[in-house]
Amino acid sequence: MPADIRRALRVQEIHKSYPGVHALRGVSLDVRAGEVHAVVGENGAGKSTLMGVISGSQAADAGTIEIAGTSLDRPSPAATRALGLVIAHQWPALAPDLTVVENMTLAAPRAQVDDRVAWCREALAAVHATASPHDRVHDLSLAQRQLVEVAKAYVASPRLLILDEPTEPLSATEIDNLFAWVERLAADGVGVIYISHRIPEIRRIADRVTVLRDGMVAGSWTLPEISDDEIVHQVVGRPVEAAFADKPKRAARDTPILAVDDFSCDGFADVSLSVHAGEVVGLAGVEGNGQRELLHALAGVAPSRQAVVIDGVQRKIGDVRAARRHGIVYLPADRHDDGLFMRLSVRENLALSTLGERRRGGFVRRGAEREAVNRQIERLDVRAASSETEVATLSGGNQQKVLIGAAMMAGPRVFLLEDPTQGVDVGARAEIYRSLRALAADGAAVLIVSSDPIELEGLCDRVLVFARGRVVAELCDEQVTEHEIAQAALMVAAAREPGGSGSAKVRFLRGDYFPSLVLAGIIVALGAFVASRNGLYLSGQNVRTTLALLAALAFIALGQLVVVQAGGFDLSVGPLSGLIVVVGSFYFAEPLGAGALVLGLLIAATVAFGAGLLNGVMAGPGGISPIVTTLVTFILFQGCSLLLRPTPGGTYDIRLSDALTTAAGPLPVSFAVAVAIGIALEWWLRRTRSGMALRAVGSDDDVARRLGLSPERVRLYAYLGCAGLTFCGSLVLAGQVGIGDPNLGTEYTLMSITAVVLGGASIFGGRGSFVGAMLGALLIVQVMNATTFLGLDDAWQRWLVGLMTLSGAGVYSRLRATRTSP
Amino acid sequence: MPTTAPPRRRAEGAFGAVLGRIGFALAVLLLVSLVAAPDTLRGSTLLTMLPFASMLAIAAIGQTIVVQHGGLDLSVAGAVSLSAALVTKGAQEIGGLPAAICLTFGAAMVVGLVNGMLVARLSITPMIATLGVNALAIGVVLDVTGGVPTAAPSALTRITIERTLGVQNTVIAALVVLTVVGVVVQRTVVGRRHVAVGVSNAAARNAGLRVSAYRVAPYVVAALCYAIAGTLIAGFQQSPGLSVGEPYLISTVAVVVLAGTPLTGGRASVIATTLAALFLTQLNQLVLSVGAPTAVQYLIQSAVIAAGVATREVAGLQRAARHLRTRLRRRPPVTTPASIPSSSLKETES
Repeated sequence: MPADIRRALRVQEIHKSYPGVHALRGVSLDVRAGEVHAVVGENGAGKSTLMGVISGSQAADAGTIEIAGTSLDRPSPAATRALGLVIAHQWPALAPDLTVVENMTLAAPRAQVDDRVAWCREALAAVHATASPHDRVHDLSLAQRQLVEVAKAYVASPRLLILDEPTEPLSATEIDNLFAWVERLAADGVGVIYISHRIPEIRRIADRVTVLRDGMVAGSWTLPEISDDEIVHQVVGRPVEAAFADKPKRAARDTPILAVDDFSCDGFADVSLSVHAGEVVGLAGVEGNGQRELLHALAGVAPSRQAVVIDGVQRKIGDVRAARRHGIVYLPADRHDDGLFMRLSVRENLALSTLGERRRGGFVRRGAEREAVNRQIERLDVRAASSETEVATLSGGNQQKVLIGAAMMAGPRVFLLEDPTQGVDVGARAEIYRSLRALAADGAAVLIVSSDPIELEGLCDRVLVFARGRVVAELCDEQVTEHEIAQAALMVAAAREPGGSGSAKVRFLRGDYFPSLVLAGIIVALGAFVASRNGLYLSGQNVRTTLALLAALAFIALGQLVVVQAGGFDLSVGPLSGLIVVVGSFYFAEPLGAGALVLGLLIAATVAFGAGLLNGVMAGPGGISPIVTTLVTFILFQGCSLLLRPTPGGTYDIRLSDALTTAAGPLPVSFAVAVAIGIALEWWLRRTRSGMALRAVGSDDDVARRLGLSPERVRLYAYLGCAGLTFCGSLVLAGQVGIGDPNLGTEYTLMSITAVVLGGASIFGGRGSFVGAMLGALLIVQVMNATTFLGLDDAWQRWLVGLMTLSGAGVYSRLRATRTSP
Repeated sequence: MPTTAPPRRRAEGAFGAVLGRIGFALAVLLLVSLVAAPDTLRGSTLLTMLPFASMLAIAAIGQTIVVQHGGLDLSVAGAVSLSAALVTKGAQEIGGLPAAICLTFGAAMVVGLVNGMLVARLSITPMIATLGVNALAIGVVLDVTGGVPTAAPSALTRITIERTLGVQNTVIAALVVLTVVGVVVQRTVVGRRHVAVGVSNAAARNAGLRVSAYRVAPYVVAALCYAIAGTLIAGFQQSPGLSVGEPYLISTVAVVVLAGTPLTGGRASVIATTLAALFLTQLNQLVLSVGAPTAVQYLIQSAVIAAGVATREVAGLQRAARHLRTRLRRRPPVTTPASIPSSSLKETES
């Protein structure tokens, strides 16, 4: 159909339900090629779900999607991407430990470019991003990350582009630049869906606007035919669900319980606010505009330098404990992770923060605890089988009641709440509203951040509306309506102040090669010192034995690093290397024929592969913790070795041992091969997509998934690679030992981990360098060797290795912990 | 309807389930022992098994406390060896068992404090911090002993081998540690807060707890447990080797896993830990008594831990099952073009 070709997107009658929520109810949307189509709606109106369905990352229950005239039978992120759909997410899908250019390479799987850095620089310039291609995403400000996300869209040459609230963190100039680019795209015939909460911006950039309300399309208009007021009118108007308690008439003003004046912190600035006893004050605004940050500063979650006036006295709130001391009690938004102790009982959750009030000589007075808990359960009508029920098994509403109950037991003077009724059913909501009102009536002050304007209308005496970190409106009494709140938030045109960018020096200090440089320095210094004390240290004989010992450890450390980069861990490398030596001892005995050599190598390689597969399947697709997985295989491999050779036996053919330990002068061949493989791996890690994928998975599972990678599969491959490198290491070991010894190799587990950490790898994954791991291995072997030359005893070996590990881990973690704040 | 107090249960939810599982496993093991090797359940054999189980239990209780906070204490090997070395060498050098024991416990506290500070203040990953401290502790062992084991003072040996009221002193020590730690964790304010911090760091901070202090303390308590274990081992073995603590690294972690304590932290039961230590020791005893080589001991150990994890990590299995189901559902839609291909829309690429 020719008519369809000019359509960038056609969505018809999409339905989507989640347990308990009908998120989309028959949504249809048309986007023409060459138009900018704005989509507006309140939080929870269904915008994110709709975009998820269009992109193929969420499956619709019913409905059809056509992109560029091709209808999608089986929507998937890969399929929609192939049709030219590109999304710039509101929360950028960027792996934090990777650089900008690496992220862009991962995001553009089909891009064939010779010079990636130039290609990336061009894309960044096109969207006027000031980030360097070599900047690590972790160190970028929010605005920079947002622009990198847009640059990712640029290189993907989209035919349909979805921009999800791209301007939130941007400054005015950055917004201008972004809009100029979007206009050029549209002129080239690209369809653009522009999701935003800012009507002035929509009026600047969009041709048409579609309003979503309550999972349905309220209507579509070209912009000239609809007024700002009418858009606001269409956006609001969700039916009121829960019953609200009456707001009492406010009495004459006494001194406020809580007051701040020109209060500034990360995320907001110059906020003045006072809250009186009996008042319920709401903080509104589009997400990410500073209202939550204000609450966090008051609660001591994000410490502020400025003082807060509590009951007329200036107080500094350094942490949550200080806030609690002054009667400020905080209720976090994410009750699962930040609020409740999900695996503890209702009783334990309720009583925890007030245990100190019910103790006798350090012991909890159980009778008093039970009584207080039961009183609270009754007061809030928490429905649980018993007070011993695990909180995780309760409904969302009852969980929230438990959380509020625990806070109320602390007797708050100022109660700070974030989204107190999110995911809470209607009945429980009414209970919560009633209890908050009752608390205020008892003389407390209540401050609420909520993304639901209806809730604020029903609950609050006063509402402050935030935009880009500042209070843009204060609504009192009759003004507190959903319409007024939405209008104040939607009509903001202001932009954020532009932010700075990181320096090259900081980048280097936090880079993957800084540890290597430090290690190299220590190695040279230590070497020079020992050589000055003992001339034999640099003799060919000593260098050769040291490097040969190093070769085995280097291989195993390289293997360990492959797994560690992917966010895994391998305790079993040590016993595995021993097992391979033992298996080999059955085939490589004197006299060694060609057939036995090949067969032996094949079988040993099969053992290594099987070991890698076992670890990889359990820790990858199996989802078992890497420590448990490799603990099991650690014991298993050790058992196998002992089963095959209860005592050392099976001497290797001397010719094979000689071959494995060949050296050219002081340089063992095994060492040269290890270095060559290490450098090749380093190149692979930095330059190839698969190397980047490995680090992306270790860096952030979710982001990796959004980039189209499968963390489970990548981890499986990582364990296979680790087993392969361990196999190489055990061949070197076999050449040195020359006998099947069942107790061989276990010490390599801890040594390989130490080497990897010294080399600067993050044990959480995503960071590390193979060169660094080899240098780490070198330092360990060198220290062991040097202590004998210096006449130091064995204790010094341990102390030096221990101190190096701790100082290395300490310094690296310090360097990386301080993040350039957005 | 408001909650009316239902009959109170002593075993609490998942906690009870974990206890039941390891208890059940132990019962099965004892039955198997009864059939396969009744000798292992005879008085004299049990008497040789119980001290080992007790010492493992004490060390594993320490490990449990650390694991509750999502950590893993690799310094158990070094700390046990260090304690054994200090108590023997100390008694010889300073003279007098009490002084040696004081020295040992003081050193253990230092080890624990260093671990805790590194983790809580310098935010070094627990595994790496304890790995480094382990190396330091072993260094001290080598330094103090000069590489030669010292004989334990005869008083210590006598204490560890003798019985009080017919019960072996090592068993009494394990029961005391179990009771003290159990009661503190379950009944005191400090213990309850310790559990809460382990379940959720963020929630504990938002509830106003002094989280950093609660992150240091477990390492100190654990180190003290290792010191008790190390002292007992020294007395029991009479002339403890320098690396006498080494096997305790793998075995304490194995016991913690068997006891059903998630390595990500959270609720744990020291009773389950003790039962798991008993289980592991008896398992080894059984394997040895039927004439199997040490190797089989290892194989069975790893199989048992794997089985224990498999029954617990249901999440992984469920995920695999879901994966399989979506695979199976991905059949080509047999819909006419006019109808809505809703079945095909349901599928997602995972």
